[in-house]
Amino acid sequence: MSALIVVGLALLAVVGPGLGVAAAQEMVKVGDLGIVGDGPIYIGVEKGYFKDRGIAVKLEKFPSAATAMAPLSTGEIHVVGGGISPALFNGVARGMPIKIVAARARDIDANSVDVLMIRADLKDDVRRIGDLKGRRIAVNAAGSPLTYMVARMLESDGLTLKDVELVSMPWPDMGTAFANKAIDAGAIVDPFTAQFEDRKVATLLRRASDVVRNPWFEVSVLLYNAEWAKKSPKVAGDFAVAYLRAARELHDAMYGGKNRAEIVDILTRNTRVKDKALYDRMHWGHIDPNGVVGRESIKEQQEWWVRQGTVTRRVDVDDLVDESFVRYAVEQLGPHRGR
Amino acid sequence: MSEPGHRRGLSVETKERLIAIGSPVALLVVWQVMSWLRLLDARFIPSPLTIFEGAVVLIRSGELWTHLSVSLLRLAGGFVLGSIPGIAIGLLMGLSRYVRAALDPLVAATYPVPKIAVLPLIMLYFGLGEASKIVIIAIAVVYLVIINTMVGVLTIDPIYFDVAKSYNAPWGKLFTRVIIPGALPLIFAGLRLSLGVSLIVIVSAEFVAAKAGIGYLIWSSWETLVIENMFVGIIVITVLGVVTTFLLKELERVLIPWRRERA
Repeated sequence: MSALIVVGLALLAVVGPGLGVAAAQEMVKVGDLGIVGDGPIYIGVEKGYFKDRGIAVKLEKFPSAATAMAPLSTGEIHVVGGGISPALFNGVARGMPIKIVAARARDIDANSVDVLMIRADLKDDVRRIGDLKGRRIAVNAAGSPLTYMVARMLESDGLTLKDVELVSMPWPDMGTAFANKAIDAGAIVDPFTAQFEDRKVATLLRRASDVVRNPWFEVSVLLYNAEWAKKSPKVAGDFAVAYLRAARELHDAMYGGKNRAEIVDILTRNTRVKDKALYDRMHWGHIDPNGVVGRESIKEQQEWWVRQGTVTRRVDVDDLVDESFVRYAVEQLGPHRGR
Repeated sequence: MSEPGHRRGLSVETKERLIAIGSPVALLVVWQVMSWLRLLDARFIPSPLTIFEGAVVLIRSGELWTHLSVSLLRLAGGFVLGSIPGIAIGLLMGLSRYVRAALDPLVAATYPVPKIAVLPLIMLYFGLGEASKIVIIAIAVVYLVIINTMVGVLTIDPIYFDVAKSYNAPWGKLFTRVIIPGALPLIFAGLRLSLGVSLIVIVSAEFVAAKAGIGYLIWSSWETLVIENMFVGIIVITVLGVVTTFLLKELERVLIPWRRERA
């Protein structure tokens, strides 16, 4: 009997690897937030770019990037798109193996997803940022990159966070809070901006790009688990090639490329924005087609969080950013003349 | 209270107290040693000493007291607001079978709803401020108090009622001499249970809808990965649970002295 098992196992060992293509593919676990920022992942999966590079992507759903930080650092997931947040700086300072490897979402002129909206009935009372003094402003979380955006907006008109009352609530709740007059303003991202305007509960006051310029606001980036990338540099490099290939398609589509309809289809299937018409009205958030990370913005944001006391130990941003993977990807794909 | 017989019992009590203090201390020592031996991942589970350092910083800056006082006010407000009507309704349900018939199905149907699930609705009516947190605690408290008070009244031995009746005791006397003392042990059990539940509810409410409080401290520290502060928050909640339960037990000793004899 045991001899039979041994023979069986030996047979399996010989035949096993040839049983299917999937066995030859490297599994990469990717955090899935269901937002347009994850577009390159969805495009790469649907169009087979990862498969071409011998990678099988396994998507793991997360409600927000903040909740994905711990699983990323323990290696439960290998890759996730994450905001430039105090959690990132504090996590790295505590020794969590995380690297910023490529650009993801950036607020630039005419493509700025992050906005400050005011309650619809305040349109005549709040015409400029300075009019927000003493008012209640909602952000999605205290440690959100949008808190930084709100602060920069306030500073642009002589106010600070101390001059307003900041409250935290998830974006969908802000619609109700506007309707109830529980908040006066809110830091919001597309597609909520368009939805709130449709419901006539809030109206746009400023986009991030109106205020945060030179450098542009680097909102989110692609993060790798550094231990995984070190152990499997080939896979990590191949992942970057497929990611960038798909990111370029997202980039072209957002600026009116011929592939727009196809990409909108993919995004509708995979993100929480299911209404195709919305894609024409909302901003998507700029993605750098060469993956270059906006280091200066990241450095500025870290300094701001340090001044707030939320980040207690500075990390070396130049060390935190590792662009070797996207450089390899650009070598493979050739440079892209995007914006 | 100072009978001579009590002295002997005290030594057992002292032993119990020593064990009660000793076991958490032993846990802390084991935890610290495991941290030193790197058996715990310090990135996620800092050592007790590191947490202590974090606590010192939070205490010195006054931040801890700010969060603690906010949570305490919410707890106290919600507890009072929930327990008083809870006792009243519970007594009515215990005394009148018609009130019981009317309210029991409602209580039974709504009791299992996780209180935090109705927070969005409560915020809709009571706003983002303190009122919504106080109300959600009151709701969590009221059920346990109602149920326990009602059972407290129902389990009073009928013989007490018969005796009161045969002596033609007026209703006021019946209430203060039979019903309240008879139901008090279970009323207190309800209060103690609801205290634990209100700690759970306040922390969860502060997770999602607050800008101060111990729950907010825990959640915002986790979101920004300042993990020492998260543990400080968790430990404060544990201490709060122990202290409030102790205070309630002391109150129980004063109000229901006959109960100790049975224990």
